[in-house]
Parts: sequence; structure tokens; C-alpha cells
Amino acid sequence: MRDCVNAEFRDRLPELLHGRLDGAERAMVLAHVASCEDCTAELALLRSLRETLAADAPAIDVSRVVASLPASPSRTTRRPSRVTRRVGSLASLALAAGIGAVAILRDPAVQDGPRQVHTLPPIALPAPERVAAGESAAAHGQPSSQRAVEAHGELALEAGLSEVSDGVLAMLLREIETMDALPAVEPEEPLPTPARDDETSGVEP
Amino acid sequence: MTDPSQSGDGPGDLELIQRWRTGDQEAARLLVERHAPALARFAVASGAREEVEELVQDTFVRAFASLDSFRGESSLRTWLFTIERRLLLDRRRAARRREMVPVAESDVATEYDALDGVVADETQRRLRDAVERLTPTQREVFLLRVTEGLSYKEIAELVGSTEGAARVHYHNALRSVKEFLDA
Repeated sequence: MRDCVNAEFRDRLPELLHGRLDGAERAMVLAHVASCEDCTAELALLRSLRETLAADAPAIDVSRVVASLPASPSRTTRRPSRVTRRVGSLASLALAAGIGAVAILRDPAVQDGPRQVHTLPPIALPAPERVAAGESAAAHGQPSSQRAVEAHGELALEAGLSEVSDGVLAMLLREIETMDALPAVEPEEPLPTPARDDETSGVEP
Repeated sequence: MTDPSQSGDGPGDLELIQRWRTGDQEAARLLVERHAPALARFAVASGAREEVEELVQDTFVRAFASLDSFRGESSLRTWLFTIERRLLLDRRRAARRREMVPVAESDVATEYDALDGVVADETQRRLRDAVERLTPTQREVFLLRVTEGLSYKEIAELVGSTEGAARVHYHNALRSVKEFLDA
């Protein structure tokens, strides 16, 4: 099999084979091939090689590949970090305690008469774990103050404020003071959702 | 010169990438369907016959994880070939470190010998043999040009060479194939 002396056309044969030539260039190369036995034979050889070698490649399971791909950026939702959530919960508690204190101090009975302890209605907190944690503890007959502490991972305070002992409040306030500041940079990867057990045992000594 | 991915009726690669970025998983499927066969051919041609599917999958996983770094200066297919080639080289280096049997031309020839028992077509067998006799560099360049239709410029970018060197490797390979078939 001989080589065509016109190297420029000959060099274009793979592009012609793959349809990568534009209209005018394609027409020129085709015209040359039609008049050149060497290029006709070489183009036939290239076509046979392409078909033979392509047949060697196995079919790829596209679904399997797609399933292994990372999620697209828009599907990666960022969840608040654990520290952020804890600070949010404790801030809610602090706010609730403050409201309770103001309510007590503004009570005429407190201002004018002997000191009385009032039971405030249950304070609803936004934490989704509140109900589950509270119900779980209530089911075991634990006092509500203890429930508040045990559900501290996402703090649930469903009892009146008067039921929370001074010791419990002091412990919670100590924890607020010792909490780390928020990280300057949030991790890029979404954090894994912690197990419920981890969250409900969040009170540190 | 036209880009194969742009010449079809479907959306172009860049449009599909943008759609995937906005959450369209179907766009990812279209990209995989479009480019997986070429990556499989390249893997086989590079001697990775036993790990084609895994190699193709790893290539896509790595590509999609770093699509932000794809600027569209080269075609997506060329970029995918570059990733696949790098993965292949890493695996070969790792195999050598583990003192496993490296992928050598003789091994590939053995695989083809086994295949020859099944494939009756003498012409196809001779074509494969002709390609297998090429040096690894000649074979890589030759197959990228013949089976994938890449330009010398694209091949040079992919293999880290020059257009002139790619052209020389291609023509030397083609001459070697012809000589083998004429013998």
C-alpha cells in the first residue's frame, strides 16, 4: 500500500473519516480522494481500523456511572453546623428565660406583695427534636427539669420556668460561657446528620 | 472543523454542563452517554482491557467533581481523555510499586491471542496485530487520531507533546501498520 504524495490531503483523512471537516474543506478532500487510489485505499484502511478497534471496547453501564457521580452543586444544600445549632438552641433558652424573668418582675403581686413563685405556661421552642425528646423523657416519668437537660442537644424546655432548678440553670449558663465561637470558615462539605442519641446527650460536664 | 459533540441534534457539552450545575441530573446522563464509548475505546487501546468500566467510571467521577476547573478551552472529550490517561498512568505506577505484573505490550498481545480463538475474521485479527506492534506512544497517538478523530493539536495537549511530534508519531505508526499488512 503506497502513500499519497500529497501530504496535505492525506493528513486530512482522519478528520474526513470522523466528519470533522467544514463544508468547503470537506468537498476539496473528497474530490481528491475520488481521484486518488492511494488515499481511497488509506481511507478504507482507517475506516476498518476504527470499526475493528471500536468493536473491542465493552459497552459501559451508563446508569451505574451516573449513579456514582457527585451531586450537582445546586443540590448540595448546606446544613447549619452542630455548633451553630447548639448556640441557636441555647440562645433560645436564654431569651425564654429573660422573658420569664421580666414577666415575674412586672407581676404586681411580685412588686407589691410578698414574693411568690408563678408557674409560667410551657414555652414552645422551634427545635424539631423538642417534641420527640420531651415525650421520650416524659414516658419514663422524669421531671420536666431533667427532661430539659437531657434534651439539651436541641434543648427542649416544655415545663414552666419555675420547674427548672437553680443548679440546672447554672449549669446551662456555664455551658453558654464555655462554648466555642463559631468557626471563621464553614466546612465546604455538608456535615453528616448526627444521630438522635448524639444530640440528646449533648450536655457536657 | 466541527466538534462532534456540537454537530449532533442534541445540546452541546457546555450547555449540558451548565444544566447539570443547576441540578439537572438528566444532563449528566446525556454527557456520560455521549462520551463513555470513546473513553472505553481509549482504555482498551491503552491496554486497560480488564478495568475499562472502572476506569471510565472513575474518569467521570473525577471530571464531575472538578468541572469548575473546566474552562471549555479544549473540548470536553479531550479533557476527559486527559483525566482518563492520568488515571491510567497512576494505576500503572501503583501496580509497579506493588510489584504486580505491569501492563506490557506482551500482555495485551496475549489477551488478543485469546480473543483470536473466538474471532474468526482474519482481517480484523491482522489489523489488531498491526496496531499492537506499535510502540506505546505511537499506538496512543494513532488510536486517538484514527478511532477518535482528534486533531494533532488536541493530541499534543492530551499527551503533553507538540503538534509536530504528534504528526510524526501518527505517520510513523501508519507506515508501520501498512508494512505489517503488506508483509
